Amino acid sequence: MYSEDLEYVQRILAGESELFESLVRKYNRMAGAIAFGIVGDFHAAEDIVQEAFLKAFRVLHTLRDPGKFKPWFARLVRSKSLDALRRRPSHKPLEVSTEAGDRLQRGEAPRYGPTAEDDHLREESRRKVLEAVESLSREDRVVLVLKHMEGLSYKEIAEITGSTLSAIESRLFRARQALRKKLDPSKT
Amino acid sequence: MKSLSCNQVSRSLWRYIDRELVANDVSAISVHLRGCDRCQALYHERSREASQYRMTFVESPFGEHFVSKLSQRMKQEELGSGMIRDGSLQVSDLREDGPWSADASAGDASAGDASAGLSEDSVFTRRRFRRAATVAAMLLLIPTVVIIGVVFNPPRSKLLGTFEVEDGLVTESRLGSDGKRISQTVEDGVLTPGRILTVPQDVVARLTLHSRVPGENTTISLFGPAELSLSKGADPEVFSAVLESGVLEANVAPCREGEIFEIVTANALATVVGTRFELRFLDGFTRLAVWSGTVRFQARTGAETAAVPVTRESGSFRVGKDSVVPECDPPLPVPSLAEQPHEPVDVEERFETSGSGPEDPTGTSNGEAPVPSSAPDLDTPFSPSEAER
Repeated sequence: MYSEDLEYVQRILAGESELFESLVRKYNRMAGAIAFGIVGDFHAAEDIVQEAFLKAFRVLHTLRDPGKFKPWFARLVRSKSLDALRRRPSHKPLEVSTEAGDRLQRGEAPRYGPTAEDDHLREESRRKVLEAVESLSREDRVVLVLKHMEGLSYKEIAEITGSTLSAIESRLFRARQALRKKLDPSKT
Repeated sequence: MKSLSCNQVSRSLWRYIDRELVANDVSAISVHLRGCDRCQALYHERSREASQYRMTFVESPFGEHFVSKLSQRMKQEELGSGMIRDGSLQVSDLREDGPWSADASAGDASAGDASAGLSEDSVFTRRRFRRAATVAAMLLLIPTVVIIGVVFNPPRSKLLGTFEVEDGLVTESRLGSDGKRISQTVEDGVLTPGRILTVPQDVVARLTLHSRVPGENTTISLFGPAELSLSKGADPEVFSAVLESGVLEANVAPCREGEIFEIVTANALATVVGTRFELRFLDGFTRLAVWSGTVRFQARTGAETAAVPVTRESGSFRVGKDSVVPECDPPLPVPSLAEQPHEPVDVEERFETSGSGPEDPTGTSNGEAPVPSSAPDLDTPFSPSEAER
């Protein structure tokens, strides 16, 4: 994993800047998971990750060990996300863009028929989960999103967040328990 | 194998679902789940939770769409900086000395002075002003042109693959900005996220998802009447679609780390979890346990080897000097999806040095040739990550 990054970084620094797209393709979901985990908003997370990649491209030559692009970039995204959080004037409500949600916001009637109903139920379920995720503590949310959005192992999450394996497991357990409590209080 | 209590299983269940356990622990939990209704129910509940969370994030703004957006932005920024590098005026001129500095009123004042009396200094200032204004206008013009270009010629959606229709036409739809469907009837076309394919009665649509690995494309057959909605966040590596109605058959290429293939219906979620197996070589015996998928298992002694795919239906195999022969008596039971397929199928082989063994290298002499299974195993618990793929 790291040796591939080493080659990418070395070649980008040698002038093959188009290879940066490979790093973007490889790490944009991980970065998105970190940013969304911290700011709890997909639109803001997208902007943060864009800025983080642009910054990474500009200061790539300062990376001391080119093979460690992943943890270096994860720290950069975290730092950008925390900056964005500090700059945010007040708590912004969660924005969940879904087709059914957009229709409701426009004051339009929902589509009829089983397909529309299924869409609506699915989007409603997604909205509920995202709202429950937003209520988690920032640290627990980052770990949960890295696990379920990016599918990382406990070890990989620990490397990115600088935690221990047991801390990651505890956070995941706690986050899932809190979500269960929010989404289906009867089962807790 | 050690037996576990319900408490022990309950404590390890998330690690089991997250594929964080070693092979022995996975086996022990699988055995327990098979014999314990309560723990099995808990396992299914937790698995459903994990799927629900995963599905929530499938439609995030990240993936191929993000990559193309960022690439476009980087091209724009490189274009801007290139122009500044090539021009005679540096950015620092604009920031520090020119009339576009923070104190813009000072610039206006100097322009006013120039109209009153044209000293050498004021002419020089006006020249610099015009030059800076030209550069600034160009800097404003370029993003405007790019924005107009994006608005009138939006970036094309990412390509998932292609589809072809046998003996008929299908309806391809997308949702317009007003939420209404925009449809067209076609014989073939490209697959992009968010599209809906409606296949009429007696028509079959063949979908091909392009893989980055040549020759490993995933194919999907949609038998009409059927309707399939491709998720907005889908890409060939993280594929998700909703089967609104009808019959779908998928031949999925081997999934690599991080890849997902999921089909959702109104009340279920089918996820390809890849091939999972355990291989042991102890006391001269190689023992293979297959949880799901197909594993090619072959003798490596002798000049020739014959490969036999191992599936749940395959039965056991005895490996001779030069080939592999299925014994097939008794055949292994095939667990139904409704049952708990937690116990791995064990296939034992013995390497014989005498040379007496295989009679029929084709493995079909008793009419029980192994049949590879292509159906994904939806219900089997995960095996340890190190034993996968």
